[in-house]
Amino acid sequence: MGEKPLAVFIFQPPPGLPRIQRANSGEGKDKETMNIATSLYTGKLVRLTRIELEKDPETLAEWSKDASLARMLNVTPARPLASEQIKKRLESMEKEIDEKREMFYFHIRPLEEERLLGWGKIYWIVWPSQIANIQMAIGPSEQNKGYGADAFRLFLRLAFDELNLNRLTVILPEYNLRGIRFIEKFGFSQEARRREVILRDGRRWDSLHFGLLRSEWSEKHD
Amino acid sequence: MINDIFRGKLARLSAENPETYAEHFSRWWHDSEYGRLLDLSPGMLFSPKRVKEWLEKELEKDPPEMWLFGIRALKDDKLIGFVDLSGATPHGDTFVGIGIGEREYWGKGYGTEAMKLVLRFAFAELGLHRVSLNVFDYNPRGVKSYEKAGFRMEGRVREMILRDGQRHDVFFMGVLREDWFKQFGAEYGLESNIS
Repeated sequence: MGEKPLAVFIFQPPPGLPRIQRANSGEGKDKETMNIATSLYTGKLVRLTRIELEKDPETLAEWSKDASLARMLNVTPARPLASEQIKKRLESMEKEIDEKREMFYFHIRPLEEERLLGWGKIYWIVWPSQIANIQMAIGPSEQNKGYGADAFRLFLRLAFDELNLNRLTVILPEYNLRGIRFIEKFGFSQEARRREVILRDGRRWDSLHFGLLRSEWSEKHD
Repeated sequence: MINDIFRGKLARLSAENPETYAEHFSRWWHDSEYGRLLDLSPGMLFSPKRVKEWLEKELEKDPPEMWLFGIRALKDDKLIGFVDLSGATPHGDTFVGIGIGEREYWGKGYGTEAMKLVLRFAFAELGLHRVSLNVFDYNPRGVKSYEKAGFRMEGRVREMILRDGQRHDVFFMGVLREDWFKQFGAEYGLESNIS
């Protein structure tokens, strides 16, 4: 075992036959070779890190005092949460991640600092179909500094280049215009408009589903 | 008020003991076509015992997280399928799932009628604002049935399923209470004063 030389076949298609495409070379993607030194978790401004159970809940609790973040995400009612409640939720989420293996969740921090800028997750992964949902939030005081775009690029690369997903879905309320503009810049397009799913401030709003296929993804989005 | 709301012309919505559901669900799941029409994830072939344990816990919850009904054919009182409403949000939206496990009852209107009955339950009894569902692009019979029950197309989500080496799209459909009352209110002797 292990002594046999490794056989290498180089397949050259005869003239007239189409060349075989590399399995992971998405159209519109200019990267051709793997660079093992490229960090999946480090961007130009931010890095993706693990949860700090002792410190992060306080920051998240601070953000939950205002409904703005929660309302922009989805249908779960916004509510202020105490840091102890948040810590418990993070712990049970870590447990679920460990058992189910269908979610990746990271906390976003600046390159050289420990403070929490936001969080993001790739969730509802269905491995056989190579699909998942993606969601990200940047703290109210940390917005408009380019952190979100830098982090989102990392999440997309992780999803397509490491998890080998074929498709990502983002679900947004129709009133989250900034979020819609943000994901459209990354190539997501609207695919479904679920009518009147959300009841807030006394009126009905639609919930929008956006999709990005591997073939539409480009790392050139800056 | 009309109170006989669980019975149609072909079928009725029934309550079953966990054991009965479990025996049928386990058997139906062994039909892979049934499983692939119903679920985007690969089917697990659970034993009746395992299904029973899960259902016992689920059906004990009060108020229920899942409104589950059996579908029984009126002509022979046979349990032929199930329908459930689950994942209701505080905004009045819920997802519906339906499956006819007994193949000889396919394509004869049983599913459509059960869907109509569960929508009547959702709007006339639960007071929901809308009901949602997903259906796969290789299930045109399902799409047609749901349209008959009042659902409208709300989108086509691309390449959600990879099966037999091919990628398939998923349709999102929804029905709003206002539209449902307009379409079916008269049939059921109902009139809505809320939109």
